[in-house]
Amino acid sequence: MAQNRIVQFLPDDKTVDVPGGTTILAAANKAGVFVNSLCGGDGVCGRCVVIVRRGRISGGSTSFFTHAEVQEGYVLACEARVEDDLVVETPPEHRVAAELEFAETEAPFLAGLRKLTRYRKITPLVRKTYLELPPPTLADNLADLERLAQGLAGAIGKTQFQMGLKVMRRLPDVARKHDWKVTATTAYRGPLTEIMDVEGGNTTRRNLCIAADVGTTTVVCQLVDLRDGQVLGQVGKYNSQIAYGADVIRRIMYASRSPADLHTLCETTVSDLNELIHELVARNHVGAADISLVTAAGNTTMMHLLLGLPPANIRKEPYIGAVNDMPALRAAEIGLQINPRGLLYCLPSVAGFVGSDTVAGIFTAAMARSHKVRMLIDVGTNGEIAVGNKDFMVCASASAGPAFEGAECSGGMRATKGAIDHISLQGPDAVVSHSTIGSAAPVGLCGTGYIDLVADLLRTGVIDKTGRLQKHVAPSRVREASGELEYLVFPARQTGNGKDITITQGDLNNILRAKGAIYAAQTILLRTLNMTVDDVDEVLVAGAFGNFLNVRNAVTIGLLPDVEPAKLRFVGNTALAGARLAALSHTFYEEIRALARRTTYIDLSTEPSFMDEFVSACFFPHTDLARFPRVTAEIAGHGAVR
Amino acid sequence: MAIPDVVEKWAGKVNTVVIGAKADQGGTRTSTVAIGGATTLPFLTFEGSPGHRPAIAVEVWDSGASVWPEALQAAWGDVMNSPAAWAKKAAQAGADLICLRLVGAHPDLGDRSVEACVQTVKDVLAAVGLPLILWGCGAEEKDNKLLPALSAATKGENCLIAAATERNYRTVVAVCLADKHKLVAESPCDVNIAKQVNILCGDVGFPLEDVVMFPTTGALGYGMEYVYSIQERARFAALGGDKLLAQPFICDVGYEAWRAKEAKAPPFEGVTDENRPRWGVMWEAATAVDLLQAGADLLIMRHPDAIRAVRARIDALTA
Repeated sequence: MAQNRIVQFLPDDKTVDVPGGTTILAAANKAGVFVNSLCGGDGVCGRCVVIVRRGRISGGSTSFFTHAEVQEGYVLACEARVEDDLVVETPPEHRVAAELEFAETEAPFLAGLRKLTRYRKITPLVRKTYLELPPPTLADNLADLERLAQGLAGAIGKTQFQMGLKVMRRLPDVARKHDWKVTATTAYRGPLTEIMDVEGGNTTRRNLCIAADVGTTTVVCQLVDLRDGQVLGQVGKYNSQIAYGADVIRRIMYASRSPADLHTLCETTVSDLNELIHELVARNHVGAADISLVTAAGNTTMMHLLLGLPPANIRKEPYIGAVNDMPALRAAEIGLQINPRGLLYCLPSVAGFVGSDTVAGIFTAAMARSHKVRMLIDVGTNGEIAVGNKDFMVCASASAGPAFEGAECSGGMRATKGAIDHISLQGPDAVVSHSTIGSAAPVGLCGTGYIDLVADLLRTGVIDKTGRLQKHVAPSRVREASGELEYLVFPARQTGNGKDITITQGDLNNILRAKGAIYAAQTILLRTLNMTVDDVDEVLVAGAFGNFLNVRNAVTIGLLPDVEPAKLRFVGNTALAGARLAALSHTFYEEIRALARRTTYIDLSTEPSFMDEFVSACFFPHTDLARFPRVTAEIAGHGAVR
Repeated sequence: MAIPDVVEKWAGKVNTVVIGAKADQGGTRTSTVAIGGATTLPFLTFEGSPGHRPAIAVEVWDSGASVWPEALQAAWGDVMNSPAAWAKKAAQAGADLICLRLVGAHPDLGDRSVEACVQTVKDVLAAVGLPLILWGCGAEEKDNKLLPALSAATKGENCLIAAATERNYRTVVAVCLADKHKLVAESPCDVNIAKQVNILCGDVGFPLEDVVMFPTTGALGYGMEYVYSIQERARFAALGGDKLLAQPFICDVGYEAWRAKEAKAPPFEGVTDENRPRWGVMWEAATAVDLLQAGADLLIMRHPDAIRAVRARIDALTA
């Protein structure tokens, strides 16, 4: 019998006792420490990275690590076995459920929105009502369910109820055991009201919801108190489906191979959500059973994969999904670990390539309530553009890749603690200022940081208008590594993980293409409407790529049109905000559904000029410099031959 | 009923680029060539000025021309082994310029030294009085050593040097600027990238009036429609006032036309040994004439008979 060993996990500071020979991954699971593992311990995904700080291990291949990392103790948790008492640390860039994210540093637009909901009447999709019902007597001989319904009708003004058999079976005992003092959990089901659950006593103070933004690259969850709409916490992580393809097309192809592969993708997302829910529950010391609602926004493909719906037809002309407006479902049916009776509301999509994240954005930004024409640019792996006002609403999408979410970039990371979200260069060789999320030592760059950096590289002439690094302009920072040029942003000694933070030529190419696709989509959508950017009163930028966006820099790199600065506004992660608002008010939820129905989708894939516009936009700021007069004036004269 | 006036008025103009320098201009050429200058679409003389007549440069290789098709070998004969003699014969065949391509400098095609290439250029300069186009070998690293040497060796001659590309433009731009040569800006069959290369050259200080655009050429049957429409779009933009696309075009006709299988071994019924050599000539001439309609200002050609035919066509169209 192997001797037991003690394994201590940092930074969680959790300790567990396991038999020698146990894998670190198994020990971590036992300790309740999340280690990101995708392949389930086959040693192939390379995600479950941990650093063994003290103690002896056996096993563990080194193929995923650099020599320096091996020296430092990097191993794969699924392969390394405990042979000794150990101290193990998860590296900052691999900690899955990251630090609380919003705190004070939320996009100002969303912070304002939060105040707004405080004054609105909250009518959540799932609510709890405490009832003190009169016990039945010979004179008052209503059956239990009818008695409950009568009490509820008086309390919430609804009369049409439905109830499942399970709850019905429990009702008589629960009611009598608690002397007819019960809490009914009811859910909005259109004209009907579902009595989801009946508990003894008053539990109304525990009514929580998860609002989720299920993105192609990033998954973010908020824990929301449904009594007052307060956000109790927010966590996020990269979508583990990335291992099956970076964009929706590759995911669809993977899922279409066999039912088992579709199931894998479905489970992957569900397990990401469960991980985040678990994290929120643990941090806030609440019970998962108190969460009886999940609202989710995401692109159409992500919604299909979340529900295990076959996505194959989204990819084929005429690009039709299984369902756009998904009915409410039992969350447990897909394996979400909340109250087993709890419901999942997926917000409605518009079309195969415009999802509920965009609809949520249109709603959150109140675009359809004003006569002003607004353009919403949702910067995601699939960039979505919506243009409209209270009279019309059209949208389009373009595959941009995950560069602005920090994925597929060497120094990229999500907008979480340690991410550089702002940076400015004094000259080609000097960083003058920067800020990181959580004011931590920098670990990598998130989308807003990349936008700042690329804009300043352009201004200082370190890159030319094609995005190519010019070694002679910044000889102390531009160097060659692994066969390509890179620009050193922060040397290892200044970073939070002891590694250089760089931006490589490949990263710059990814960013150029991402912004090119998003800008081209804007151009074509406006042209289809016979409009120009001058006809747009306000340009709103949404996305989960940072808390503050320097819109001027986003214009400099040509991601946004060169309009008066006053017309540009960063609104943050509106998909998540929309999911939260829908949870808080069934009126909002219905408005979002109506919005999805009346939004017109314009398919750019049938637009012959897309490729031309795309190549034209793959230049900083744009091949047609006349469209960027302010930027052209600003960066003129750099890089002249001396 | 009066016929409505359909004459188009254009706001823009194609730049005029002069190649070569005579003795009084600091060079040793006996002639110079001006291209561009159009204020309307090709040959529409009733609308505006068609600008300078399209010029023809005859292609001469420094070495390795033994790979050229038989019909071309037969037309030029032994001179193909001596760039200077070849250039001389090309001048007699009616060339306006000599396009000397330093193919042999390519690391995979002989890897001739920079010094040897410079000597070849000097020999050609001495042999003919025509202006020169100097074309690198296409291997970026080698060209970045070769082109500065060629530029320095021909300082004052006002050559046209090729090529600046999106990926590699700094070196060639710097030397052309320093030695006062004209520059070819090359792009891979895309009007946007054509404009981008021009912008990049301008950004590093090169005067855009001294640039000749090479938007890549395709032969008849091998992408002609594509390159035709790219040239046409660029020309519309130029005449519409876009200074970043107002550069005259250079078209690599000979190289592209003689790559076509129809030019070398026509796969058609009725082709005999006797008429086979004519096919390449026809293919080259037809490609050239098509591109003239799309605004070509400078044609690089190979076969003397094709050159003669195209010259006759230019004469007829500009008469």
